[in-house]
Amino acid sequence: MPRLDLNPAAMARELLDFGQRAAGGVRTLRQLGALRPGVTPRQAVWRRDQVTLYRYTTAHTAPGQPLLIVYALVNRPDMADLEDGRSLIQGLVQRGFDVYLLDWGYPGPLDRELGLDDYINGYLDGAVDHLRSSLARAALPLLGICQGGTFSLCYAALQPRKVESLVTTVTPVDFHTGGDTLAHLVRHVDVDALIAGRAVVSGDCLNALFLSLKPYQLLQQKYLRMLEHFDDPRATAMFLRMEQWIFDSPNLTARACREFACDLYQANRLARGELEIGGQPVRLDAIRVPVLNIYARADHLVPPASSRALRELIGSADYTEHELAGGHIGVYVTAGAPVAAVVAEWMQTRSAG
Amino acid sequence: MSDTADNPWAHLWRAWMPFDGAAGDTATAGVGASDTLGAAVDGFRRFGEAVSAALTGVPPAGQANALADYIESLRETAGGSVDTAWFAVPFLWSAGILEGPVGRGWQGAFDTASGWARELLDVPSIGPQREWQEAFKAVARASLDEHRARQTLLSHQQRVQVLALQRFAAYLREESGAPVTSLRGLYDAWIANAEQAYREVVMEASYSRDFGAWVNATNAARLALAGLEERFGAALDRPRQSTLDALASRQATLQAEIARLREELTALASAQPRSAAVSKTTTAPPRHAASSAAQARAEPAAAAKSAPPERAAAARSTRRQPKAGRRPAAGTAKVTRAQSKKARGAKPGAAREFDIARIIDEAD
Repeated sequence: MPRLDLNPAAMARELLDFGQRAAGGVRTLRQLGALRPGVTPRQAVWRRDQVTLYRYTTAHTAPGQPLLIVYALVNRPDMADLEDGRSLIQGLVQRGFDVYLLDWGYPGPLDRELGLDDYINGYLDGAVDHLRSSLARAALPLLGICQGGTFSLCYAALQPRKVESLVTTVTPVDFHTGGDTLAHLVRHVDVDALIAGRAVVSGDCLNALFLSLKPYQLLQQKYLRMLEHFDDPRATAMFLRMEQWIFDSPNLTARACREFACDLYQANRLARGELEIGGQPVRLDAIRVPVLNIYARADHLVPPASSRALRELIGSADYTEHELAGGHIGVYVTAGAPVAAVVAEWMQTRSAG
Repeated sequence: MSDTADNPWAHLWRAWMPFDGAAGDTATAGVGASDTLGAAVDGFRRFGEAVSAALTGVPPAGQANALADYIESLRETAGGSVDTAWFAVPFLWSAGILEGPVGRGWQGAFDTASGWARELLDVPSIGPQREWQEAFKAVARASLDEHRARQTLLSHQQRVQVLALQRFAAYLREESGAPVTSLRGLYDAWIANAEQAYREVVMEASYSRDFGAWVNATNAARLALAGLEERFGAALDRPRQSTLDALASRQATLQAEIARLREELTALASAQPRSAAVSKTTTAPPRHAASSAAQARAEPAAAAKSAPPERAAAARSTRRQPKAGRRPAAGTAKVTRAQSKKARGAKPGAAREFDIARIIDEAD
């Protein structure tokens, strides 16, 4: 059979159908109205500055094991609870977990000096202490997402007695693995010049960088694929929620940007055991609690090798790796919440043990 | 049989009119409002038209080679033709002007002009306006540097374009692999090949170096402009960035002082005999015990979502109010950072008392 088998009349019909379907989809768009991210009810239980700790409510009379989710500074944590049936948080709540999430908020022009020390030793530690106190527990299980996973690792290394177990998901650990496009692009950037005169690095600027990793797919193909599904209100709603999430990007404070870009992306200090936060060394081999490390096979932002490097660096004897099909975001918004299923199984095994 | 089936091309234009911004069905109005969707749609249409034109009258057995020939002919003149816009890197497609006779000529003219400009900029500034001249020259130099760095980066994008076409043609000539039977399938194959070419170029050491150089040049230009802005602000006696930084620094100092006083107050309260019970309650509150007032106010984001726009804005505004003594400020000097860190660090104990009831109450 020839490589191409295209009929001009069929191609014309294809274009016609596509145009009609896309035009019809506009009606769907107009009927959808405003979409709100988040499906699981929640309430704020602690707040400091712009940072809020949420507890996700559950119908269970006796909430189960607590789990604190630590999200990244870039983008909003809405992605973890985007839509009914495609929500990590909903999946965890339905499996009986007492889920908490630390929302970093939107840093503004007065937050220039907020750095990793403030986020990890200040806000994260404050939230953990609040939960340790209110739940009367000595330590908590943490679940970190992407950069939040890196923060969780740092925190577990700095405060080992406050962390009961640790789940890292799509988490960068070694920033100098081959094929890390983001690290490659940042390598020669003068980060001090980037933040000079700025209080924050804008979310738009970060988004442009992320989009530049796969411009053909993210700026052309993605929208074309969506146009084909505009006649499906549910798919369209999901797409729009994702769009809203992607481009609702908080700014990154100048100091946090500098520290993350220079110390981690450029100097790779975490993997090299040279990172210091708040004057304290961050040694991954100090982490002795059970660790589950989930990574995405087709992750274009955090290559699997970057996450899997944890195996050689962690001090814990109870270390589990789990690969999920999909990309950096896809693993969280896949129907059935596969991350939640993996986490639940892993944690229940340890509870039973 | 419908008209569409009889003559699909006759109806094609009508179906695509809304995406061209032409007057169409009122139900479809609005698609053109989205540049992103419009660009995606337009790219696919151009792709379809180009492929259809290249394959007119070609039997299936010869289509792959015919299209590959067409692609290779495009590669020869890549960037010089509007018709090839759909092949370009989406957000840097203007790189195309760098190639082709016109592009090269334009680039040469720029190089010459910038050379003259640099010579002029190197003439020392003299006289009472010297400092102003130097500030303007700094902006001009930085702008020229940024432009040059951008052109270098765009030349990489041009290489991506050429390589993408090369890969796509090679893909079409492959004898193995699943046959492509639809335009969408072919378009996806193009995207896959183009993305692969893009990644190949981007992962080169020279791209990383030139990307960094462009970002650095952009920041140098921004800072030069900011310096000029400062100078204008001073001349007009208007508030400027340094003014705001100074105010923010002063605010941070005050916030840190308030936080320190609060901690002292808490410590004093804890030291009193009757306060022991209170302290016990606040440091180990009942599970999930937030005050009712705090709970009622705890979801400004939710309020923002469900409220009318003006109320939503108010809710967001409330949420983002700085809390006295907690928030460090822009422009904080080392001293104030050390002070404010103590407040922000807000280690458990003293500060915990304020977590819900006071912090949120004060904010709202």
